[in-house]
Amino acid sequence: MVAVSAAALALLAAPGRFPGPVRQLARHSLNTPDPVPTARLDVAAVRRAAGILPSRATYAVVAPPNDPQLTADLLSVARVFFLPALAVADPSRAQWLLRYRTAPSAPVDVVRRYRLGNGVVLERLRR
Amino acid sequence: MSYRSLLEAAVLLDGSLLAVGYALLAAALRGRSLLDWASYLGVAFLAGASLVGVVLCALAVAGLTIDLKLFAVVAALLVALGVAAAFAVPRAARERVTPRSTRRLRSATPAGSVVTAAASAAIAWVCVLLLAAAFRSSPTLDDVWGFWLPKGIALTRLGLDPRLFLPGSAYLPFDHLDYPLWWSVVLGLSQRLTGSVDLRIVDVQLGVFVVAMLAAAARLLASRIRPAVLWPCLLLVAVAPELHRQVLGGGADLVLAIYLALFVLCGALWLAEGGLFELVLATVFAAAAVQIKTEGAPQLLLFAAVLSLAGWKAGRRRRLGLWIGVAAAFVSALPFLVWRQAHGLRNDISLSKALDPSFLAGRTDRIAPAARALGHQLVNPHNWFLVVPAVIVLGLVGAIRERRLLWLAPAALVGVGYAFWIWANWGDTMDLQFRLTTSAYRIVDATVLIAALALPFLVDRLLPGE
Repeated sequence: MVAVSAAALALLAAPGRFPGPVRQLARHSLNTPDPVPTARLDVAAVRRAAGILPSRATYAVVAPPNDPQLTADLLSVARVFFLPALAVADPSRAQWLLRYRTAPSAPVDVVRRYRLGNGVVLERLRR
Repeated sequence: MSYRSLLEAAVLLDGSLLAVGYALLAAALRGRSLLDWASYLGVAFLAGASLVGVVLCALAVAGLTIDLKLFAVVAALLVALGVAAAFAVPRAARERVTPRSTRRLRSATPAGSVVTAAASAAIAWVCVLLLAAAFRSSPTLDDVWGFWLPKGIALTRLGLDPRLFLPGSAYLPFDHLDYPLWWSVVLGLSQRLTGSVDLRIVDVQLGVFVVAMLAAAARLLASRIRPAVLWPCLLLVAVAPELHRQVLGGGADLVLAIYLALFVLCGALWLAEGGLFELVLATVFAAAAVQIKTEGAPQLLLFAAVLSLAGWKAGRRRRLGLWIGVAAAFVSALPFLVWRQAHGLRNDISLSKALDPSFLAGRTDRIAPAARALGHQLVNPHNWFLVVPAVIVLGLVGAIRERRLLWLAPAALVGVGYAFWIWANWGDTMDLQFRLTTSAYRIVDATVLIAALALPFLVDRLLPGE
């Protein structure tokens, strides 16, 4: 029992020194509280937006149209952080707009703009 | 967003689920030693989680928001009910649900004792490593933050809000609206308890469910299997690379598999021994299984059918008992099923198409690739070692040696699980390659875990006495 415990502690302390099949027992690769999307997405910027967006708001997200994976991931990640705010498909019905490195496809009346870095912008729209 | 908040959330939620589970078992365990109670830790946690989840799902359908206050009230009520029942139920009735066989078998030889000690210590450490990794990993499966967790957050903040849980409004609904709510409820409550969005809690909870499964299996089998056989067999599951990958993946398939496998184990024990305790557990585990994912229900029916056939000699009363348990599980899921039906939500996989011979006849080219991909997942030693092939080979050896078909029951369960998923992929309309690449590795979980829990029985019966 002592031998097993010593081996386990050694594995926990220095997994790199063990062969592959044993090393995987102490594997942990994505030590972050954030979602890990498939697309290259600035999750921290979306998290920052969540600190600004009111909880009862409606919002829409706009991402570059030529990147469906990014759009899908952005929608999902935004939802995780923004709930209970509700997502709408049509930006003209949203109180807030999260723009991800792109301009809105139609003109919007912006009351206030929050730059979140990396080309990510949260806009409060006039409604 | 710290390890402390993760730990506090897990302790609070899982401690409450454990308390409910112990209250549920109180009538059966009353009068037992403290050590005996402690040995039911895994069983109690999984039973409590099932029960609380089932009640909260029904309340969500009734229109309530599943916030922490409601959770606390429901958990407290269930604990009070369980404790009251333990004291109110007459002794004779209590004795009928008391586990018949609780005395743990001991190794008769020094070698057996060494094997038992080493294997059980190794399992304990593997559990520590697993949980440590879970605390330091965000889920790799996008389904987790794509819909499982967001649905849970919505249930704890807005309830079963039609703007999110039904299509057709100006709001963007969730994906997979047909999926039941149980796992989302557990994740939503976990997330609320962490205080801020921290997805590592999903892996932590999956790790806790896996540890609970190992503890539950050990408890249920310890009085029936020699320890020098039981612990190494459980160790084989505990160190399986795919188990660890899936805990860090965060998907619901593993939780579903845990409940289905424990249903099969308890159902088989009920048929073999007639203990009401195991029947109650089978029912409680089945109730969770039908409310985690839509595929839980058909798999439950198939596995129950195989159990009934394998346990035919157990008699009509026990077979009927098993099916009453299965029926009770379906009744517990009725609120959501009725709600889903009332709102016209259909399964992702169309049952009418999957049962339509002409539809199936036109797509037989899907059978072979599906069989190959799923078979590969079942027998690939890099995933689950050789658990599934071992169960089939040992079953055949036992059947030939003793000329009893019952030995083949675990292989039949594996065969039915395998066939079910071939059929599901055959009748599915999604691109087959995409479907298999993204899901084949995890949809076989239930089949593998059922085999893993059958393995100790087969080895124990085949090996000569110590």
